[in-house]
Amino acid sequence: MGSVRRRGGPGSGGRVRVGLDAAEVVLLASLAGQVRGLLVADLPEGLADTETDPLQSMTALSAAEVRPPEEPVMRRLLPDAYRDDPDSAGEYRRLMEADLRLQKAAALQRVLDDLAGAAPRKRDELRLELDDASAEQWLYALTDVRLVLGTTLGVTEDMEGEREDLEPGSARFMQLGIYDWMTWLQDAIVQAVSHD
Amino acid sequence: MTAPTIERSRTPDVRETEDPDKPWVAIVWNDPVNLMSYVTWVFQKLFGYSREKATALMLDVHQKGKAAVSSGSREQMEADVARLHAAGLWATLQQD
Repeated sequence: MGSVRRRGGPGSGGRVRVGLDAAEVVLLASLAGQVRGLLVADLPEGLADTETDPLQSMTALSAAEVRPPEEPVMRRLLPDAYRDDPDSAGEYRRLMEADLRLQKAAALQRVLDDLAGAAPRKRDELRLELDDASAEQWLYALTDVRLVLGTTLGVTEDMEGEREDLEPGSARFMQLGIYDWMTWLQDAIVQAVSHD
Repeated sequence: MTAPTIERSRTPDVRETEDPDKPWVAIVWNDPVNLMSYVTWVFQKLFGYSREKATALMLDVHQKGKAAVSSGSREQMEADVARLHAAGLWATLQQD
């Protein structure tokens, strides 16, 4: 089971220590990689592997017509900025969507890089030390993974009743277990970085 | 983090319907995935709000379904919505 602890005081110099066992590392890396893949899949050629560059992303998309995504998962990751104004929403999306995708992809890549760069401490357990900037990227990345999982699973605010009735070992039971673990990990990191 | 500072090519008839004196607001909508603790942290992080103010806004989102979390010019609110979207919150902007 993973662990999250605060080392040092909140603010400057404090770090978040995250311990993950081998199965958790594989799970997190797989999910982060899949969500990153969703975000960069539709980008214009040549953009997907570059660092975030707003000017480049906007010029690359300036000639393209950008429509709101049709899949619920992508609509949740890349929401309309205007609720009742399709013209403004489309214009905003044309200017901003590629950059938003790249920002999200970069946060997910940060998690993948941190996982790949951490040395196993003992047996298969990984220990990572995140500074505040890295913890922020982790929180953004974990949010997007949970948005994808939650939207796919049809998560609602009150699911306790359903959870109690689920057959242990069923696919949904295990999927919700993964979602709950991601929720626990994110909340633990939020608690570690939060301060008054 | 980027901000939209691009010249607009908006059609005049859209502009004419806008009252320049009315401020714009960035609105965050409730969703079943984002954590209350995380949303509070995001409001503190992005807007520099106190823990108390951020918590109150988070509770408005959670209990009333939405909250206006910042206000200003249209361009400022587009930038705020961009930062909220990057953080995974469901945000829109509108004229108040």
